[in-house]
Amino acid sequence: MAFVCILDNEDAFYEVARRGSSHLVTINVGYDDAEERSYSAMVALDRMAGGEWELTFCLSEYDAETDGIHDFFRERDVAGFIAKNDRTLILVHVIRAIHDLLHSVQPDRVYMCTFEADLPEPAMLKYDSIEEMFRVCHYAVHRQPDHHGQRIWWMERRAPAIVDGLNT
Amino acid sequence: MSTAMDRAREIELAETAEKRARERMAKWNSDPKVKASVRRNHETIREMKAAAPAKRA
Repeated sequence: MAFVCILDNEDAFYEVARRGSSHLVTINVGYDDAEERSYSAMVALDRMAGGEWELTFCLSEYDAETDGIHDFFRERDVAGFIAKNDRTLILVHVIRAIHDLLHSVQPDRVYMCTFEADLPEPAMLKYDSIEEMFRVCHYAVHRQPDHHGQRIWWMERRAPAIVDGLNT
Repeated sequence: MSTAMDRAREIELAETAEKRARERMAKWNSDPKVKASVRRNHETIREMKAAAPAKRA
């Protein structure tokens, strides 16, 4: 098999689904040139029991023969079949989806953490990009102390007056 | 997040994050609208693959 990326730096095909207050963006990213499989990047913003929000993203593989979906959450699993350049392109569109979600949902407080402990710096670069997008969208980013190597963040939306620069 | 209670909560969230994410995405994947979306994506790609040789010809 070989993964074929259909993305470029321009627009991609996005779809948004809603379930209650939760939102999911699906981005069509590529296919397997030998098998009946296609791939989508999924970016979800869901409300947790405490009222805060949580950001989740993964790569989903759709198998047309079984009609099943398998989710990949770990960088090393995705790196096994998608080249770095293509992973970078996918990240560009995931970041755009996060931007769109933050603008449309406007969550007050968002939680994010790594699933794996002590991720190497190259794997952390995507989190750096996500942090930056939160800042661009007028969120204060609070990196918390690691928990057994897991990195933890809270992002808090700044007051509207500060966002709009009305108090300056 | 500065209180012990806040720290306890964010640690609990970190320890259960992957389980929560897998359950959440499984729920999304079983949503008929999402399933229809990935099927549509697949059809779009199938059409692209079919059109590619024609373009080269």
